[in-house]
Amino acid sequence: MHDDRIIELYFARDEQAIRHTADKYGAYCTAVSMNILHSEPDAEECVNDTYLKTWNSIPPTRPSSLRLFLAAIVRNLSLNRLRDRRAGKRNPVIEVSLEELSECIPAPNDQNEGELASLINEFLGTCSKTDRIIFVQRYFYSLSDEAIAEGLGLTRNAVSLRLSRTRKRLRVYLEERGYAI
Amino acid sequence: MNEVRMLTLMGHIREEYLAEAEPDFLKALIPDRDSAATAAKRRLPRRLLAAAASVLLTLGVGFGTLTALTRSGVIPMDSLPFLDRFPALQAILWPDETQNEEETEREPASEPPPESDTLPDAETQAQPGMQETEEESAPGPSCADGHTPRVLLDRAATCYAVSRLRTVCEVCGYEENVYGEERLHHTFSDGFCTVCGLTEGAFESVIAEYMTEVDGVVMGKVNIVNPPEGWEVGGEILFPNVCFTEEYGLIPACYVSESIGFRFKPSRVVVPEGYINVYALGNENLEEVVLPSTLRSINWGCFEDCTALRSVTLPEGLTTIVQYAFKGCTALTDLRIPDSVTEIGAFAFEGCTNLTLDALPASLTVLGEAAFKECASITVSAIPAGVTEIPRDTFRQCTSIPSMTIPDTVISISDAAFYGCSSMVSIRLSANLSELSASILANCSSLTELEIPPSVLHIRDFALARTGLTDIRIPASVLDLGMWVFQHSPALHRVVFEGADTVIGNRCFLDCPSLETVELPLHMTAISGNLFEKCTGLREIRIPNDVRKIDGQAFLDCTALETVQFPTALRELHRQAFENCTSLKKLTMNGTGEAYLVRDNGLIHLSTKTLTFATAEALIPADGSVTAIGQYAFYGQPVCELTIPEGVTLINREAFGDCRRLTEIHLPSTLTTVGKWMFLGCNALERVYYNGTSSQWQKLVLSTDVDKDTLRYDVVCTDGVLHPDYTVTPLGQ
Repeated sequence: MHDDRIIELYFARDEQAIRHTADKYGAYCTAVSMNILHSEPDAEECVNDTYLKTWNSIPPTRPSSLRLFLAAIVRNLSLNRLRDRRAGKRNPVIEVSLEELSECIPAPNDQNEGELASLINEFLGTCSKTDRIIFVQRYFYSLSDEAIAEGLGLTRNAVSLRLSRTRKRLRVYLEERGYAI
Repeated sequence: MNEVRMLTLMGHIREEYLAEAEPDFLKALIPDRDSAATAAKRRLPRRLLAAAASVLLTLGVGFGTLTALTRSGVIPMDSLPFLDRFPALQAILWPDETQNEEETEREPASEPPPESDTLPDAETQAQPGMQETEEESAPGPSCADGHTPRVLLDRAATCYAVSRLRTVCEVCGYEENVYGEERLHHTFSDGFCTVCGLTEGAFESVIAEYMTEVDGVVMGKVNIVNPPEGWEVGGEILFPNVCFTEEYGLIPACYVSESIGFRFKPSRVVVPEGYINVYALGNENLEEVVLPSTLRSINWGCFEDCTALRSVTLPEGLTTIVQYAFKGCTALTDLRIPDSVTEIGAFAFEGCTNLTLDALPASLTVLGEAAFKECASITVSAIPAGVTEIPRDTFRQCTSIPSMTIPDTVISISDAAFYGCSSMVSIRLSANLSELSASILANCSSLTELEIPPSVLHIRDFALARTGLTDIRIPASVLDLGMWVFQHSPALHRVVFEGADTVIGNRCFLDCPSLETVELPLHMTAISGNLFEKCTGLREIRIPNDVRKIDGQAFLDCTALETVQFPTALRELHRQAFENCTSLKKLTMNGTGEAYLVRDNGLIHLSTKTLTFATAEALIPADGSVTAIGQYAFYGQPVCELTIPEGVTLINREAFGDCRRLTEIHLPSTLTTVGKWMFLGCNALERVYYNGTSSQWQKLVLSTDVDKDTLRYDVVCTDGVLHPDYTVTPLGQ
């Protein structure tokens, strides 16, 4: 079913919307969540919560891309779950990502989060497409260096080198705009 | 991991960046399962002229057309006189003068367009891979080796569409469509396109005659009966861009996604004799349409959302009603589908709430998805014998269908095909059906007669939820039932599983308040979670002897359940399996089980000597066969007085939780451990008797992890009453 029709179903408050979403994007969302949580039951719960959250937010939201809308929700829920999970499996990619990011971005809080986000978007606009893809795949889709390298046909070293350069530039970019660490 | 916020921040990255970085493996997880309808919608511009005889007549009328042709970068003008390749087409267009046609056609075509010189030839060549290949195109060898394919102009660029060329190789049959770069942006004068002659204005009535010839130039003609004020068209308007397709009949070339009806909003359309297709005439003003006897097919969305259309006479000889044809024609009442129709496409009549149709044509072989969805007035009661498949949602919410007979030729009925047919009393299913798909008969609240054919292997989720069924037999052929299969069936009284090994999914009988008799599969091995939740009429259940596991809340809220026969194979009883079964009295078991034993209405785990589960009428044996009271053992049971015999050393947490009627409890002196929340929710509990001294009791509660709630009672010990503040009132005072 086409996304527009699925969204239409959400607007019509037809529960079939969830079924169609699950049919089409269930595996997708699970993969995004698994990437972060590395635990099937947790991922499954996050995905179910994603449907509920989607149901509650469409309408009034009318996402331009249902897929990315879902990806953002499931990712957030998965990160929250990861944070709340006291014990259990840790995700090395996430841990490293967090470390790396804390080297270039000051800790976000409720006040500066919006501005930081738009600055990061601006910064990404200045990057080359490859650098941007690497950055987003790493910090949004939580892929490992290997996975990114494989997808882009680069070597692992090239990916981590580009990534660290991008981070350095981001750090400078943010510092210039008053966001020093 | 509070720094997760750093990553949450990344959630604000712009969608375009996310989209470009989306990893391939994620994209691959999205099934390419766009419904036929939407896929067709996307394909439409390509399919529009896909038939072999598709031809565009773009001739004359000054610079506008020429601009149209040249700006789109597609025109090898010398390839235009191709009409001679289609004698059949000529016969339709000019029945009397097929002989001379070629010359009249060549004339304007040979006129060199002013800018055509600047067009490099390469641009007009077919470039495989540049665009998707036409689906219908013959799979053949590419013409790369040797042959010179002909490049035909399939459709000129218009206001709304890019141009399209069709490459046809006459030697090997290779065909490909190539699309131009951009559509034209015509100028509108007074809301009227100066090139295509189309307007956004509404006209009261348009009689489409479409084709005429003026000074050797073929033009489309539409007769406007009442032109808008200020117009001096004399009631007639000529379309310079008209195309004929065998597939879709005659349409203005300007059409892409908006239909002629949308542009003109005529209230009356007369389609002349000779047409075999009609296409996109729908608009909200349309009240009357006269269709020619030659018509074979009503095409995609032809009358979609014609909310004023009351009746249509479909000509005999019509064979195909394509998807969306009459979707949303809410006023449509009278319609007879002639016996020549073989195909009714997806969504064809969706939402025709007033349509009174009592039979489908006997000639029908193909029914599309949701073809009659929400046709609340149709009373169709049989599927023609030629149909083999009833797709998803076909008769969903057809609330007037009285009964249904499905012939044995039907081998598949997809999800929710009869969902919400609330008047349907009986249905006779095909004997060749292999599954009852999800929600197939859900919400058929009047359905009382149903025999599941012995060919059915699977019954999927929600298949029979919210029906009026009272008595149902599940044949031995059924291997499994999904989840929620019978949920919320208010009248369901008796269910018999004839098969010995049928697997029953979670929540199958959720909220079936009339359910009294269940004959479960003889060799089933597990009672799944919430299986009988809220079956408030269920008094007795015999769990087959091979069941090893009873899952959580399997009998939640079965408030009338009195007797349970436990299986001898039982290994695992979820502690909340019988939550809130407040009438439970009698527990039985056929002999001694492998791991459990039932004695005096209590279920005792043999190896640990734990009373795992007990009813209010249970007597805990004092012979040492029970040394522990299990977690939740008496949870919620309406027990009033309870004596735990000497010899019991352990009471697990919440053993008496929510025993709201418990007023008095006697605890043995042999206790060494008590769990937390022992008396949680025991609101009526007045006295706790302890068969030991107050110091013994104090020692007990101090040595174990007891909560405050347990300590708030006065405990009557052998030497006095121990108060919560650890003061002791000697007995007799």
